[in-house]
Amino acid sequence: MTEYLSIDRAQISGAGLALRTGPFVTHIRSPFALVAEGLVAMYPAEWIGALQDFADFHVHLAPPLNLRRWWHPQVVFHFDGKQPFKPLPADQAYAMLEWGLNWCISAHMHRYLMLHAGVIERHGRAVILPAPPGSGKSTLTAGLIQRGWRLLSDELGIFDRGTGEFVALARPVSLKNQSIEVIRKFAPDAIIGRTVHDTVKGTVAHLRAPQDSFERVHERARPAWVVLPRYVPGSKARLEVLTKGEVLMAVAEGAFNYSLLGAAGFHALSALIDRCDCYQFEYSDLEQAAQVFHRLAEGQDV
Amino acid sequence: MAVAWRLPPQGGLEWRQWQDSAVVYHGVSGNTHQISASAYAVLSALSDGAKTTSELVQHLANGHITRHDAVSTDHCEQTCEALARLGLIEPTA
Repeated sequence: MTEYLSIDRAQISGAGLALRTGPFVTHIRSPFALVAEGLVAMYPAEWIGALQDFADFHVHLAPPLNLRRWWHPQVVFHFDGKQPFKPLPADQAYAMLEWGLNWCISAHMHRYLMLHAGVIERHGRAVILPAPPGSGKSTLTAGLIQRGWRLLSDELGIFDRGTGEFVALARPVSLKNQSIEVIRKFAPDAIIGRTVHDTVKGTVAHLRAPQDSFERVHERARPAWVVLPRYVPGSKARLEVLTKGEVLMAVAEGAFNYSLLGAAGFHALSALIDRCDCYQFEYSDLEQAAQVFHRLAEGQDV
Repeated sequence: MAVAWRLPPQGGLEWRQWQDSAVVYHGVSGNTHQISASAYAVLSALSDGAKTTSELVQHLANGHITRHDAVSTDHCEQTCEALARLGLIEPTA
């Protein structure tokens, strides 16, 4: 039975709360009820509490200090006293928190190689799903974690360059537009948060990670496959082998800090690719996709 | 006098070859390139020191590249020129 949290609004508005996601601790302050509501819906109770001593990031989501807030309520994301983004409509406060957390990690945690990819695991082996927006990456990630795969992360693939393992965050999967209904139908018991319309990404909603992903968040996973997904309406689910060189180029292009890391980034990424079988994956039906990935995990013909 | 090719003296090249493909990282530009098997063989050969095109052809024919078209002088020249345009190799003079 999932244990749900109730957040003390006075605490998150005042001193704030600490959210622990994998190795990262974020100190969050906000007077917005949507932020508290989103945290309650998307994270396990034991990950949220009073700030003990150290936080990697200090964020504050607050209304702007101008008159506009009275007739078009907005939310501003503050990070260490700075405002890295333009204000958004107030009903996007929770989505802004999640996007802001992505930015906090990708802009600062350079001890890791950070890929724009979903990462899921089964039998201790990780599938990396890198892809540009619109490829169906998050939909596929969301679908597979409803069919027995463990979620390490959705937007950010966090690769520890020292150990050669992926780090788990088990943060919610960001669903967009039609994929929200697709996942509702595919997994009626899945917990999907409030739907927010008219964002820069269209309509968005967040999907809570399965309980197993929370419970095993400290388990890392070694990369075994890189799969570039491509949603093609009407297509039959199929994997096609790609060369390691092609895949390295595609992953590098979307990585958050590959260029910044220079030669160290190249060494890390090529070591990652060394260990992986590389594929492109076309799909239109999530159930078919889940069957193909099941065969992949079990070492059967794909 | 035949042109000899060499790797950039300031270094900064890293490469990786797999059975199916090869990539090179160019530290000066920060760019990564996917390269052909013959381009990889040229880079590998030049890591031993500068070579003329004919020396490269001979070197590649001696076992680094077995495909017939990869060891023709024309192909080798084109490969060297393509690598030079990317700043991955340069003429010695």
